[in-house]
Amino acid sequence: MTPATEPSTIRRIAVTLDASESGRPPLETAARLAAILGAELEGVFVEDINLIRLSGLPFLREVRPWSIADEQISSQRMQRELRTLARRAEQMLERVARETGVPWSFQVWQGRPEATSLLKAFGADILSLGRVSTRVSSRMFATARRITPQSRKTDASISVLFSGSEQAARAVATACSLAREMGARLTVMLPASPAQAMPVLKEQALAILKRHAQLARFVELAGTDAQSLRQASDTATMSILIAEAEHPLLQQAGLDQCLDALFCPVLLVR
Amino acid sequence: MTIEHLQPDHLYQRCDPAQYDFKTTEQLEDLTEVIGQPRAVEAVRFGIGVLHKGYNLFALGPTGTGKHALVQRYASEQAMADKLPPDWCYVNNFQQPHAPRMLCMPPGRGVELERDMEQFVADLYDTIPAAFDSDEYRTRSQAIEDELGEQREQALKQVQSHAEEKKISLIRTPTGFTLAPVRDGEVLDPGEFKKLPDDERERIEQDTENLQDELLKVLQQIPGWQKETRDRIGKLNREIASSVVSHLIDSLRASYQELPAVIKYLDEVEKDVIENFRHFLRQEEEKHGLQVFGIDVGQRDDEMQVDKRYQVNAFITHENHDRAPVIYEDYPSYNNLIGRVEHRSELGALITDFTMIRPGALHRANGGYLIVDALKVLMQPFAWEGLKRVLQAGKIHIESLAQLMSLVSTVSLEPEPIPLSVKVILIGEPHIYYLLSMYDPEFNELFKVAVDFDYRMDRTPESQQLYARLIGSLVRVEKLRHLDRSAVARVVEYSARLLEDGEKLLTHTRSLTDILREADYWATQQAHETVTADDVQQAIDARIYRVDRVRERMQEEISRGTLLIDTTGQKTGQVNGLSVLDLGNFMFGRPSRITARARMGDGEVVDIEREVELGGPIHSKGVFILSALLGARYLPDRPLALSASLVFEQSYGEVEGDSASSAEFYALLSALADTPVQQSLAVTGSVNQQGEIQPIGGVNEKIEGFFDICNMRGLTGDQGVIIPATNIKHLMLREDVREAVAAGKFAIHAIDSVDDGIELLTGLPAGQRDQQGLFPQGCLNRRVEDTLTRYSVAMQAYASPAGKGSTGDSKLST
Repeated sequence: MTPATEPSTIRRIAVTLDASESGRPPLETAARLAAILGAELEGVFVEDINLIRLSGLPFLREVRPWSIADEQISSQRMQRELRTLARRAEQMLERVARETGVPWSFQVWQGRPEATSLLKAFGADILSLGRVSTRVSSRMFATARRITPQSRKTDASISVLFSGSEQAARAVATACSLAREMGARLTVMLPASPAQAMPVLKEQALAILKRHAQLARFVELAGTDAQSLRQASDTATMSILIAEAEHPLLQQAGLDQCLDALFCPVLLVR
Repeated sequence: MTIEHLQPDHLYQRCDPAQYDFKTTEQLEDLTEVIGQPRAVEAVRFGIGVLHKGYNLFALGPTGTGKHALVQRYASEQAMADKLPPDWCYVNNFQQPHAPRMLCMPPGRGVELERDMEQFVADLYDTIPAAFDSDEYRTRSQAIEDELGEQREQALKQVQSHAEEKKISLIRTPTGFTLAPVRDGEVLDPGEFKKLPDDERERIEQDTENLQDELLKVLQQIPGWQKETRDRIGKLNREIASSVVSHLIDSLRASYQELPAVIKYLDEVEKDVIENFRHFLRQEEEKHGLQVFGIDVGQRDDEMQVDKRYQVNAFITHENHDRAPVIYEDYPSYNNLIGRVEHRSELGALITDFTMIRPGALHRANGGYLIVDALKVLMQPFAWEGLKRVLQAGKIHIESLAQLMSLVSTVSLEPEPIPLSVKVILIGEPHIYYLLSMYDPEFNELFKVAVDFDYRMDRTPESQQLYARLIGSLVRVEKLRHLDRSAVARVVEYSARLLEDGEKLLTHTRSLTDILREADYWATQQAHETVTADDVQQAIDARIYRVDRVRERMQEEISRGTLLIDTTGQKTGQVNGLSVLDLGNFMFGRPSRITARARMGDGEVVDIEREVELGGPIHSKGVFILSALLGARYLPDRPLALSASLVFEQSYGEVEGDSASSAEFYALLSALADTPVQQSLAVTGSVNQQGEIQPIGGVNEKIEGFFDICNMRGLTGDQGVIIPATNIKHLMLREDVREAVAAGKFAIHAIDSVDDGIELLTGLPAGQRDQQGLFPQGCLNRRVEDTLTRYSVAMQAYASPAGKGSTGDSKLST
């Protein structure tokens, strides 16, 4: 491993901002990691280019789920609402950054909300992803009526996807740092691979763990889709997922599907 | 006519120590019965025994007569026989929290219920989270949620599927959703859309509109599905909570099955816990409420804290009691009697609930006896009115003074009233009883039993024996040295002296206890193992010495000639009267010079004290009586042509009482008869219109007061005091007086009529009218009548027409 794989080389952590409360966990995770690594926090509010485009189509109506009403879409209103969301996102970033004491910056980025694009666009070492896509998820309507006793509080658990690449090594090293600081359990997820490849991958991961004096357990993913990741995350009671930006699973299954499946902050390491 | 020259044995009713067959009071048994209060004892027994409404007691008598001890004793005795009253608890009223409900429980069960409910709440904190953390609940609730998720997902997927078929995508916007045409995963640019053929554009628009309608329908269905899911989960929640609560409540029901009110309360608790089971799922820090700057400032929401909601306020309990309560309320303020609702401050607001209801003395005494000082109740604002209201109503309704006076209109607690069954015993001075009886019509309705305490009892051989046992009992209670028999005898004598009556004994236990304590002190100083008669005498002497500064000053001024008192020789129109000065805790006698002047006039006897408003009404009455006596006794068939004046010389304060009326009469007769009076004698006694001498108070102090002056100047053997014969039984004179009398150096003369006094004071016989109605020549009455006749004739001469302007002739004719 080269020194570049070490988390100490991480200088900038970007985080996609969502003005809603569900956007706060990825932001807090990123802020905490930035504080641990001494990195700068860069908040990005993504204006999906698709929203800009569709606001120009005069026949489209917006349907609102809570008021169960529809209204004509207009460019002017869309721009105004996006500005409002951006302002709220910036305020949330400022608050969290002040609490964690990390330097921060904020910008609005217009384009496709793809992780790789975002990483490239900002030159960040790590990207913390929350809900960025405009794709509709069925979980958006989830009700929280089920009783969850407070006594059933699970400890923080960090999972890291390891593919054996240099970026993946950096992801594991970052996960070690974060797990140590948070006192969290660490799980290394290995991709579904041929039987002979698995021990090699595990050996590589163990070497990194040893260097960081970090214990971890290993989970092998059953498949190469988002559902496999979700099953594995349930087993690990995952609260943060760390992965290399170019991880094959994220490429194949699609980042949005994974985010939808996991419902926890995802850190992408470049 | 009787003049009795009293012998030493008349002057003091001695208590013979030989009558006692004990060495010290240690050998005596405690006095179990109450002595000297047969009327009070009978009244207390009656009052405590009658159970009807209004038969409360008022123990009246002077302070220190043992009222409190007696009523406490009889009430306690009765309380032992009475049934133990029930426990009273306040519990939450789940329908109307501002009106807490009352539970009546068998004795001791109130605390039991309080503990059981505390345990119940603690158990709920364990069992409810456990039940909702169980696999059963998680699985069942997850299944219900998943069902909703699947239903929703399927509906949305169907829309998405229809949309994809039309190359349209469902997209999230900042405030909702929309459906937009896509090409290669990207929303169709408006410019490109415009370039499309018209029919293509129309088709896309139509498809989009149809899909939007379809989406709207799905979204319209979602709230219904959500509600259904919430209802199902709510039902599941209640089912789980109910299973936990019912199990716990059932065991409580079994414990209290014989108490329907408690069972009803437990039913309500069960229902309420099921409705509010979420409280028991809160985190520890949440249970305690809201914090500001790290300071606990109370409850997070407006609801009553769950821990309190199911608490039991064991308001009145008799867990470790073995008898009905006997309560003495030392500070009977309104709140201390009726009870109160306390408040706590939260963020500037005053908060309260049923756990903060505090009992008053009436609650604590309910089913038993409440003893209160009447004066204290009357002096506390609204306490008397509150006490009467409660006794009339027969139940205790806790109401703050602010509520009572309508000073506040905020919502406060209105606890359910508690039925009252109590015997109230008021203790007070007699005048309080008589005032209340006269001016408060409700008083006689509510306090029908008067317990009248006497402060004295007859002195008999038997009562003196009982008195010795009383002394022994008091010594034990006070942990003092025991008294030998001579000391007991001396205390008995002192008791009679305090009463000013040789035939009575004082039942004022406080005075008795005081002298025993002081005698014990002097016995300690003398290192005596037991208190002797000398110690008692030392206590009496020391007590007098501590307070007789004023007496000493007066005696000093008399000896220096500043205050003019003659104790030898003879003076006309001047008599040594005797008065008593009362300093509150000490009385002493002092001689006063009474003088009279007489001349012709219109029949008026002027009391100078009265004229200058220094004479009290009783004193004035005495002077009027002696005027009437003078008129009736001398020249009954002629008008009195007399102008006389009477005065207490060198008296600068108010004179009250009629004990000097005989002395004033003698002074007047001396002046009229121009006959000197022996100054070696002092006189006390009131006179009536028949010329009889009547008893007076303070006879011992008066005799001792004159004796001290004479003794100071040197006893001549002629000196003495004239007292009413009816006062002989009151004599308990000092030893030095008795010794002087025995030695013939001082005399006490007891008389029945003014004639006796005349003879003693003037040395002349008074004289009785003969058959012609004339007094014999040479007697004092004759001299008086002659003078009055002369005045009358002269006055007649002045009144006749010839006499006018010729006074000289009239004088000559007298």
